[in-house]
Amino acid sequence: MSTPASPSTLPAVREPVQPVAALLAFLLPGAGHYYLGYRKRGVRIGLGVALLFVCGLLFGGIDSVDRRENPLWFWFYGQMWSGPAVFAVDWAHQRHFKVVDTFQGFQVLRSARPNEFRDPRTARPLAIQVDPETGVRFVNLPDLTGPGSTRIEGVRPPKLRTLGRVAELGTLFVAVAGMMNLIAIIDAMFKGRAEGRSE
Amino acid sequence: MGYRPFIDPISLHEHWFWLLLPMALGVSIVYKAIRLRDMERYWRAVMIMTVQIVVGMIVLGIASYLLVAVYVQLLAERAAGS
Repeated sequence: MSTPASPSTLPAVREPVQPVAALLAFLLPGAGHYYLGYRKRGVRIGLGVALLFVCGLLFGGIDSVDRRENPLWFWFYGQMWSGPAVFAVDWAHQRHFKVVDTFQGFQVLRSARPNEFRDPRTARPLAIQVDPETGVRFVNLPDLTGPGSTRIEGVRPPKLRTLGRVAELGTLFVAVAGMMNLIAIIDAMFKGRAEGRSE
Repeated sequence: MGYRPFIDPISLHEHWFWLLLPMALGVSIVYKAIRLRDMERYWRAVMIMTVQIVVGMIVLGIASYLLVAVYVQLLAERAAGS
């Protein structure tokens, strides 16, 4: 009766390239190594990349991932190696946390200012006003079909812009997560099941 | 206005340098998972690398401070004296 093989007892696989492992490593950090039989390594790679990614979003907010407006937009090309989660966050950021403004006849997607509310129906910015008597922040949401408006109280901008070092570090955390996963992708793709490597 | 996790930034402008700790830990977890041949002493290796990164950054910070605040000032004083 044969015992189940573990990576340390398996002969080294000498295939030059492991494209499936690389693809899996991109789709889910650590999955490439898991697929190759390195389960502990795979879980730990996933844990490390997730830690960096979550810390980036937690410290820097959703502004840490911004393909379009961030002055450090080119960092996205480093961040994207963290996998589909980065694209999902960027998509949600552009679609649900930005306002559509008109500038010289063109529609422009931009972050709301601290005194702007995002109209959930049109994504247009609306100026937040403060009631001088109660101090309540409100907007007058215009009716789309008529001249009237509805007052909504307790409003706030869809997100706060991240500035200064916290912005830099949030962006950097997610970029480091992407770069570390890129190393894991390359390792899974070219090293495969190397000789003498334990699980 | 209350803080919304993962949407708004944390107000850490005065204490941003503490963020080096989770970054060093995350880098070490991934790097050692790829680099080590034997996973026996994995967590020990991760902790050592984390400490190495943090100490290395502190040393670099001190070196940068000495360069700017001491050496460059010394050069400027010499240049002004000559």
